[in-house]
Amino acid sequence: MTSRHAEVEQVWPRDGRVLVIGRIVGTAPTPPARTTAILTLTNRDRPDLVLNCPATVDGGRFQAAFAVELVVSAVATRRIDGRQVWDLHLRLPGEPEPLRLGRHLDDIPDKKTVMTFPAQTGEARAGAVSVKPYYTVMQNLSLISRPVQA
Amino acid sequence: MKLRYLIMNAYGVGGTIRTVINQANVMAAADHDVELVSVFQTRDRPRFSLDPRVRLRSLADLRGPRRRHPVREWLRRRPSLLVPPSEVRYAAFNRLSDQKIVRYLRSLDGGVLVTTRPALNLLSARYAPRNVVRVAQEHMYLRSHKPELVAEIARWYPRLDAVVSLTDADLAEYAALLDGSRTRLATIPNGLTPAERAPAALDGRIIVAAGRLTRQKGFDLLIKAFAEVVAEHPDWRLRIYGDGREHGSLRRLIHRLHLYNHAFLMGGTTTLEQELAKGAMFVLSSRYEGFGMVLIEAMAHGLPVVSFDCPHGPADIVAHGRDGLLVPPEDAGALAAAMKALIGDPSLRHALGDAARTSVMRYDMDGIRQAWERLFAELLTGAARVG
Repeated sequence: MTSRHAEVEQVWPRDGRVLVIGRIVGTAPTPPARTTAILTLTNRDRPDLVLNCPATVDGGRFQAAFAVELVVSAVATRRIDGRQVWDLHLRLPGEPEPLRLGRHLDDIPDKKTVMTFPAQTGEARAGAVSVKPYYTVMQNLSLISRPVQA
Repeated sequence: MKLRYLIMNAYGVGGTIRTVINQANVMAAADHDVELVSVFQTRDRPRFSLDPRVRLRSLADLRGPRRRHPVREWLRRRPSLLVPPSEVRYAAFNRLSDQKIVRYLRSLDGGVLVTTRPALNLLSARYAPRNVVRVAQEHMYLRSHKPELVAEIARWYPRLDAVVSLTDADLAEYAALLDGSRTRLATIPNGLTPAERAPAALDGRIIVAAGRLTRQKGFDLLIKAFAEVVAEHPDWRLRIYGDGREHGSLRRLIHRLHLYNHAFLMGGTTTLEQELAKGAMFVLSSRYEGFGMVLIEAMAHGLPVVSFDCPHGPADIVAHGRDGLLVPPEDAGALAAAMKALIGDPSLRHALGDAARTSVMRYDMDGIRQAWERLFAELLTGAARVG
């Protein structure tokens, strides 16, 4: 856990989308009210493969939603096979370092097994791909994408 | 007093084991001569802490590699001839335990023998000498047993000196079944062991539940009821403590009802006291219980409780509207309504919680120990007069 991070409060994988709600915590300047930021999904094995979606930041709170198609199409067009992990960050305007999304400020130790989320499936030409948010052993928020066996 | 507690496996984890070890501990601390006898031994030490004054022995030691104990393994593979197949734990007994238990029972001479599950109660009735005061404990309730086992109970329990139930309602069932026998019937609930119990966080927004993740505990009903609660009170959370074979299906239910931000399967915990103290209310959603000890533990923290009025225990423990809320069993809608009533009325939470902390003092371990001592003394006196 760094000195500053994006503390996740709710994750809603629903209706083909993933909505993440939380707040920015830690030292350093509070971002201005009602600004636009970027939620990034970084492929853990290919750090140069980064997917972006818009996020809103307001008074220290953030919210971002993306369609699972964002991940499904990225996997399909690059013909990436197998299980992929995507790490989520929030990139604030004017800040060099993106903030890792995670959940560190409660008393629940083992989120990887306690706070779990359903997978959602998107269709690609090569077949269906499932996308599932999960907390890592470091209590950070990531996604797993994997082909669905027909 | 010379007290012998016979238990199936003192080395496991579970409600009966914990309760029996608590009883043995408290009796030994009161200077009685206490021996805890475990039919099976599967580990080097019991999981629950045992007072050093309690002597622990086992009858069938199952530790060590199978091929080094060919006779033991041969006997272990043969099904029990003495335990009725209708006993829930029939499959765990075998020819080895038959032999060891009978030999042990026949070796007894005087004192009190307390047996702790139907198979052992039946064997005590059949094989323990008449100069031993034989007391059977019911840790579930009579009607939870299969009819074939109830028939065995009706046949053999009249030979026992006493049958002890956890609730009056269950005792009435035993009285009807054993009508005409001279067996003494008594109700003695489980005692609350002394522990550090911090006052609960009644102004927080956490609902706590705890128990094995099995169908018996009704967590499926609780999760459905909680979905109704969240629709009106999205800032409340549900934490369910425990492990069990329903983990996967309960998790799928949480996902299907979109409760993944609100309801959490927390896993087993060895520090339930600390977790109870984080709650603003406790919910017991069981389809049935032997007693519902966890309700008493929750109430000792000053937690307001909502419980199904299921057999057996909750109605003995909770006075509806005074120190908790009882709702009709398996009625998820009524459970949700009661939770919403407590959420909407913090002063009710405090009033019920305060009353709960006081009312469970009647389960204080000292009082329970005295109830056992009175019963044993009465039975020993009766035995001396007769014999």
